Amino acid sequence: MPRPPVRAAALVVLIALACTNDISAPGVCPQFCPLGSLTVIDTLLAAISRDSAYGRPQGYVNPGLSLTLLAASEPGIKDSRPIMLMPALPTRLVLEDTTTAPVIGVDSIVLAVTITSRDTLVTNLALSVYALPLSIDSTTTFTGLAPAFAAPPIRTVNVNSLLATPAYNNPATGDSAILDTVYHRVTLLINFDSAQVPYSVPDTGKLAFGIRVGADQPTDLSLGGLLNYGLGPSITAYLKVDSLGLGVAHRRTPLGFGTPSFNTFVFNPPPPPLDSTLVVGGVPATRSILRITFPRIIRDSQQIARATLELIPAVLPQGVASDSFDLVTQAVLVDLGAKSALDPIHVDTTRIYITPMDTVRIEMTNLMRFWAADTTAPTAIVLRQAPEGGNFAELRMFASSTTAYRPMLHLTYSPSFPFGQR
Amino acid sequence: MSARRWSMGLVIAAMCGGGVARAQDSQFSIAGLGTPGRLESVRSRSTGGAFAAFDPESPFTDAALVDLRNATATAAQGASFRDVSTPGSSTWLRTTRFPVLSLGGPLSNRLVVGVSFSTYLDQTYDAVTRDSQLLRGTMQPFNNSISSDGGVTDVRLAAALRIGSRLAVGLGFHDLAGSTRQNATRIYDDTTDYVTVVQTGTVTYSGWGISGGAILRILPTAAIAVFARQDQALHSHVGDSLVATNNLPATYGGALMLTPEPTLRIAGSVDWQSWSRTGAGAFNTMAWSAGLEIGRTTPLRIGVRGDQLPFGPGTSAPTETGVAVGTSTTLAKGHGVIDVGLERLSRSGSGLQEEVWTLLVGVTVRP
Repeated sequence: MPRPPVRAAALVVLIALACTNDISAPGVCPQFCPLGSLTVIDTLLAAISRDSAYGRPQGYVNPGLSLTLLAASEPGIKDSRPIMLMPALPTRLVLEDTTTAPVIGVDSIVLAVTITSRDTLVTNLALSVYALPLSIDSTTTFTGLAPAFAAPPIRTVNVNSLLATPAYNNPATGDSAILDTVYHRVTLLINFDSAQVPYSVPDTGKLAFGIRVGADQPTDLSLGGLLNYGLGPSITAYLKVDSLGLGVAHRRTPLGFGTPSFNTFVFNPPPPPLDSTLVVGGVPATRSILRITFPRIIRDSQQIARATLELIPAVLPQGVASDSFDLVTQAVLVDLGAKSALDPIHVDTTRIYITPMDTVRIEMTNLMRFWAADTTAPTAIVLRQAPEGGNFAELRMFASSTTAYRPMLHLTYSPSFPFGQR
Repeated sequence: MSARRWSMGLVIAAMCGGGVARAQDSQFSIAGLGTPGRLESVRSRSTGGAFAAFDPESPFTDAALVDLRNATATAAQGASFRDVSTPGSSTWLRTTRFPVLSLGGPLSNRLVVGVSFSTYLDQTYDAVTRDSQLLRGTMQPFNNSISSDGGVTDVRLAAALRIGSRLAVGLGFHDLAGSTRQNATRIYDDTTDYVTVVQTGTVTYSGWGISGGAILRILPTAAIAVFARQDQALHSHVGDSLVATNNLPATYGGALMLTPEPTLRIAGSVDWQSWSRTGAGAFNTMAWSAGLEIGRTTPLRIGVRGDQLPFGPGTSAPTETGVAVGTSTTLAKGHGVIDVGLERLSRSGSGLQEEVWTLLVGVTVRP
């Protein structure tokens, strides 16, 4: 019998050796490799059918409910002007303690608007503010406001010049700006005196503004809208108050006052109607739904390495470089056509640039693998723009009805490995 | 150290390995049905397999069971270090296996029964290849991996009967069962655009066989053994689908053991198997072994063997030669036995060379 140290050492060696396992070796094929091989097939499938576009004339997002107000000055392509209706001014303000006094006029008003996106390469970017009739609403048209915009603007602010001043402040006009270097936003504080925005007693000081953008080059930009929390337009009014025979006092409107009761943007030319193509984006926002016939032989027993949806543009996307946008491919939870509920989890995104392109390719590998795993999920997708209603650029792509240019599914997949076969 | 603590060590070792009984694998058998297991205890394997036909703890022949005087349980573990060499490459592989577990004991003075679990075919490997494919106008490099873990287990139920003082006969029924978990994986270098493809399948096996043999003591110092085995077809299933059916070989062999001195035993054996029945790329094999055992309480065992592997790409069977040494010690007044052995194998054929070192440890318990 071995001595105790020998036996102990043997036990340690035994345990150590029991835990060893490394069997991975370079294969010498075909002589010393398993029969059968893992193959990968790359193929184009005409698997799209029953595809259609929705969203005109009423879109998924209409101008009045957009997060952004689009201003564009692209001669011959698009002219868009944000408009907004400001709230009534207070008729009385606190003078001292709890004593209130009537408002008798306006000293000045500051209009705050936030530029959420712009083309930084254009020169002499300017915003012109126009006084509009108080009757504007969601039915107001570009043509209907033509007379108001034909009048001289009540203020024009050169954004480039203002941003070139120290502390972004112009003492001569009272305008200033706040630059957000993280999100590249510019908040303009545009100053109006009492002559530019006279106080109208019958209208209780209501104001309606229209904004045009201009530059040395065709350009467009986005302003934060009413629904874009913290980035929408607002006014701060400095009012004159009757001080009960002791002169005129000046009071500022309370905090929280001044957001518009309504805002939208009007544009020309009007949006083109839907046709036989698959339309995505634009204003009002459109979507296209595509039904994909997932071949059962692939769905049930194959592994997908890559899946790409390929669409041929029918019309090149129009606009300027800053109009590039995200094209989102989103699965549907239930296929209800235009009113399909979207799946918030299974989403693929492709960036679309305003540049000539022959094919729009959207990677949807994750989506196809999800469908392979969950055979009860409807195999339909919705193409939409992100964010919706915030960009005039739209894509028009050939639908499956145009056989020569129909959407295709480019699949790279691996057929089932012949396990066990000899 | 007590037998109980030794047993605990083996249990710990088994937990680390986490596998069922398997033999060492070989690259030569990847394209075939698998690497045939060795139906030998550590004691027999330490003699090159020469004593297997007479060893009641080896599920090699049924008649040898007759020498079990008490209820006996035996387990073996082997840790292999394998160098696989091809022109231009060399890779070290490591595996731990538990190739044999047997239980048996006498029902009467003349009749002994036993059950054993041992590796019939081992299909454990992972073959990795590098290649590229033209996809969407671009060559995409990738790594392919085809791996398998598992094999076919031979569950033997056997009985041996002593007839007179010189003859023993045995008969066994073999249930062939088991499974392999197989993976086929392709990993593209471009993992951004191409998702890794992983396919997994579990292949289950079924089959059966019968075996029989006899041991005749021709002299007080000499005995001979003859044995035969016939296995039926091996059926491979994936899920409910039968994917393959392969005929299994017949085995015929004989062995001689001499005991010129009480402390010296010499044995040799030879067997032949008709593996060519299994299909293309398979060969009939002939194996021989010779060995000796010197001493009783802590014996020295030495053996050599020559064998052929049943599967290979060429026109002739790959060959295998080996040497082994070992010893053993008894514990707890003979209620426990620890066997250790070291085996060196050399395999070659069709440009592939394998050098294998295997450290063997066996535990035998006789309550």
